[in-house]
Amino acid sequence: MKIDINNMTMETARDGLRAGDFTSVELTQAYLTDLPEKNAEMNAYLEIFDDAIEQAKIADQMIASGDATDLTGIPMAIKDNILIKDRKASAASKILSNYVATYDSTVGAKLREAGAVIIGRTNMDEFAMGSSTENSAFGRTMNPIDTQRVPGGSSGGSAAAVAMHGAVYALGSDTGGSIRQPASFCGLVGLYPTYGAVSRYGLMAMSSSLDQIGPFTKTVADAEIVHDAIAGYDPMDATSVPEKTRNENELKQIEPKKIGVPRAIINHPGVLDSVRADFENSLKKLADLGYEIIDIELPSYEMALPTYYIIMPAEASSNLSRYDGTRFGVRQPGKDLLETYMKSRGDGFGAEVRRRIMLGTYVLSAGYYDAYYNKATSVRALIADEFKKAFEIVDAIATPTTPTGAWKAGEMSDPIAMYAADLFTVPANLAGIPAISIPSGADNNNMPLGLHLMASYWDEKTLFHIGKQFQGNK
Amino acid sequence: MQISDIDNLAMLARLGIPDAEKTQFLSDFEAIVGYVDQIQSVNVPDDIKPHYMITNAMRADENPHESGKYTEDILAGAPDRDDNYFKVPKVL
Repeated sequence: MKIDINNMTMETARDGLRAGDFTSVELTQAYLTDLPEKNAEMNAYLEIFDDAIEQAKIADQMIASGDATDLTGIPMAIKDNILIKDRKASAASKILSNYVATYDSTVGAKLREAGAVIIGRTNMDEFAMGSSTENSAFGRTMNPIDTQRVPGGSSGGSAAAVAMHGAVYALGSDTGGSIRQPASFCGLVGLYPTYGAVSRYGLMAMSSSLDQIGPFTKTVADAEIVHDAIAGYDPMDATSVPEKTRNENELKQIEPKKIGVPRAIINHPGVLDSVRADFENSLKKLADLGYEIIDIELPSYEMALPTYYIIMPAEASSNLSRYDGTRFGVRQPGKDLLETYMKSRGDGFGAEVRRRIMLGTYVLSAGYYDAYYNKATSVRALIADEFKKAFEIVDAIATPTTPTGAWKAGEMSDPIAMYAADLFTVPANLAGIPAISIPSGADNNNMPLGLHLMASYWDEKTLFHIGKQFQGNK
Repeated sequence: MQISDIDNLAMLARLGIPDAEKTQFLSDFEAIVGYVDQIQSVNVPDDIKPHYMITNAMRADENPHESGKYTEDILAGAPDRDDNYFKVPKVL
């Protein structure tokens, strides 16, 4: 049977493997055949692992012995900040360019146990800081739809890997939109799960109260399959939520009916007209599917971005203090320990990472802590409260995923203009609620746009339910 | 803000910044701080308290693995070592 990787989904791959239409070795080979050429053009993968076929053989044995899971034998890609034992993990940074993981992340272990075929590790903005995957120490990633343009970020390599048909699905991490925004830019589905749903153990921490791991897929149904496989309580992550609490908080399983639209933020001047027009089309489609579309107020939505740019750098500056050239990573020797720290970190980190460490140090420093960090945590609580009240009225909230489509590489040099790419996605991270981006249409440059749906805590099911209907494959 | 403030922050962050980049840093920094400053205008009602969604308790260190089990794996990635120790430049 000819394997059509351009139309391959988790569902078709799984069903084909189970029916014996093809083996995992054949499927993996189909992906690997022209992968080096594709990757030379896109720079989606930092490394294509040389043991993918060996992994596929193990998966084929699992399938033959009836031990297959939904992930078994399916080729996938993983972001370069998620650890897999004995493999390199660099977070696309010079300072970790020689780092080999000494243990498995919980997600990595789950993939291994499930028989996933990990093809390689994907490019990203250094330490997940950026919205374009131009901040990588190992060169930018192209958008497979238009190679002049960026794939979004920070998980741009994972997005490009799936969009160029170089993996059936991929994992990324999302701190302020780093899965949903590149998914939108590359015409894919991307999920940010409820905070605490997926273990962060073995994910290089950027902003610990915001980071979550989630999937890039071609369909909403696939996103659900991957999420269900990687979610779960993990005692190794102190912020992982026990199953009991999840079940208690999971909302009554009624069919979602009402979708709220925070009109004020959609009229923000930074949002392109073509994005607004596409969003209105999406709302019409949802209304045609029988959903009631209701205008809602989220008065502090616009304050989410400046709040985020206090909390995130504050946490990042603490988290990244571990990279100092002492125990692992690259050391630049100095005359004493202090100079070794200064040189290793100064040389090892790129400009955006240094900028955020400095900003975080500033907002946490004596005299500014109350005005910035403490104030930001209060505003964050207000934003979460506004969501809570909104979800008493509606089952989901819809916005565009991004204010613009993918821009041309090199075009965005002002850091604040770049930060605005996360306008719609950041609030979900601050509140810790699940959100999904689903392909919806295109902008004036014919680049993909996404519909962004948010739901209440532990209510991913609502996102999947609406999303599957929106994609027309109920 | 002045270059001396950038120097001070860089020292606190143990982050070497080349002199040539400091001016650019200063202007980026002022723009970003000006941008995030808009949250000062938000009036947070008294009944909204900063909450932390989950209690961040340390995991109990139960059933520790046998001493030395991972020593070689971990030291293999060290920039410099002396037997089973990380080796660092002189502190003072």
